[in-house]
Amino acid sequence: MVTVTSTLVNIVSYIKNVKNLYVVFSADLDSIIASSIIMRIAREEDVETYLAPFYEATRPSDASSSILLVKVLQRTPVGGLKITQLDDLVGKDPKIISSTSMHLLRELKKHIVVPRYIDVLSLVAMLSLARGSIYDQNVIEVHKKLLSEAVDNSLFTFIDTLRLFGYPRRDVIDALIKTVDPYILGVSLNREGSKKVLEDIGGSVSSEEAKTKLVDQLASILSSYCKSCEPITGTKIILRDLTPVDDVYEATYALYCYMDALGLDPLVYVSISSKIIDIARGVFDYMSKPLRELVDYVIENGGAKRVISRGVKMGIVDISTLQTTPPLFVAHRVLRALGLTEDVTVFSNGKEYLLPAPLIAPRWPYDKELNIEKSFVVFRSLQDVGEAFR
Amino acid sequence: MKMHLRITLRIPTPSREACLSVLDSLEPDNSTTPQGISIKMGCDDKTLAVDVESEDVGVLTVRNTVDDILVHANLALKSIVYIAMEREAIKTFKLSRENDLALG
Repeated sequence: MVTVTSTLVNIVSYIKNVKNLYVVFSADLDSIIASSIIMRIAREEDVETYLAPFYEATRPSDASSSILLVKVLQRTPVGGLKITQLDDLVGKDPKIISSTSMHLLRELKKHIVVPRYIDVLSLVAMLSLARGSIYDQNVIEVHKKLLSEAVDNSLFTFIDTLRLFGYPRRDVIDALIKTVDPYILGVSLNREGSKKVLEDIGGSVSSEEAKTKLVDQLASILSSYCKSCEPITGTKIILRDLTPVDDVYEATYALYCYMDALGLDPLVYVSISSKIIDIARGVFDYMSKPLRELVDYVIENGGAKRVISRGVKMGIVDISTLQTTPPLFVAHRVLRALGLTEDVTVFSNGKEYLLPAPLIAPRWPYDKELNIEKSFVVFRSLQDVGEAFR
Repeated sequence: MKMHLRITLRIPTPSREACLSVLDSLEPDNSTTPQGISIKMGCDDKTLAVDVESEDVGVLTVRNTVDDILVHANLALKSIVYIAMEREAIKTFKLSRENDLALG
């Protein structure tokens, strides 16, 4: 068992005392954010650091190198190397699904001053663990104690309000346009549609009556296709005014999108910049057209086609008619939040099957050959996709 | 005597769409600019136009603000230019494949 005292010593001394640090991370946002924080500290300590996702990481030739696994399982023994799980260093209970980044932040704050944007990133890391909608209250419940210990409580608060991205900091029209969880057909990523909805309820939500009308109208649209929606009003995290980020839920999707559009490695490196969330939001804006085309198409066709391959349930989405490849993991998350796909979504371009990399079970050393394109894996057949989960 | 400074930045981007996306990533910073400095931003077709004005603020503060904008715009633009170039490469690849098929 890891005691609090040993954790205190371990996390900082571990980084200070390694010769070369090899960070092997899984392809999910929590892991990428944690790896980025580790890289930041290692740089400050002048420790030579190499980072790679689990499916690309080779064994270092230098036996004195230290390997830090970030949310990656080690299935087979690797002789002669010092391998450590970050989760062990930060005292995380492996039986509970919770944010590694947030545990790391809690431990670091006992030793060093941490920039505020890392607190925001750790909130993003926490929200990214939701299985369906990003408003999954279970995620908050699991993190309640950790949140109070790790994240500066002057940074955020919980309020009951409309669950639209950026609302109430942002005006309702912009909030409607930007919201993709829940994805509201004809409104999300659609300026004209959002204007129309607002006009229908009288042009603003300044009165409680207008707000109720808007909620009813959005709920009515969602009820026609959404199979597992969280209510459109409810508790959400609101960042206080002094934080330059408008909305932590939107930031989570923006970072997913950055990962989709530019790959996992760039996100690890760019997350060192305090501007990462703003930059990712610009990328999301740039990718919003193909995303809207895809999600609208899937909703209008009743959701992803469901299949089982090698015992794995998956939703299949055809993207062969699209001009531009949309951000695939974002599309998966949006559709999953609506209950229109399974825990695994595979995208077909007519010739091949594309699986977003975050959906691959992380283990190291990785024994399968994967054809990786940025942040998705290309397979020739559905059987091959199913095989990747074995 | 009050000092008034005005700096105009004009940053070319590959398209109006790219310009609007960079603008989207820059805008929140406006709310955290130092007192006495105002920033106006917009897209003039493909060109990102940034107007920084200050009233009785130290030159160094203004310079730091402009530096921040440039660093941020550079990062945002690099990300978007990279995606745009990839899109173009995919289109070119698709077109050349179609031509190959048409030529038999």
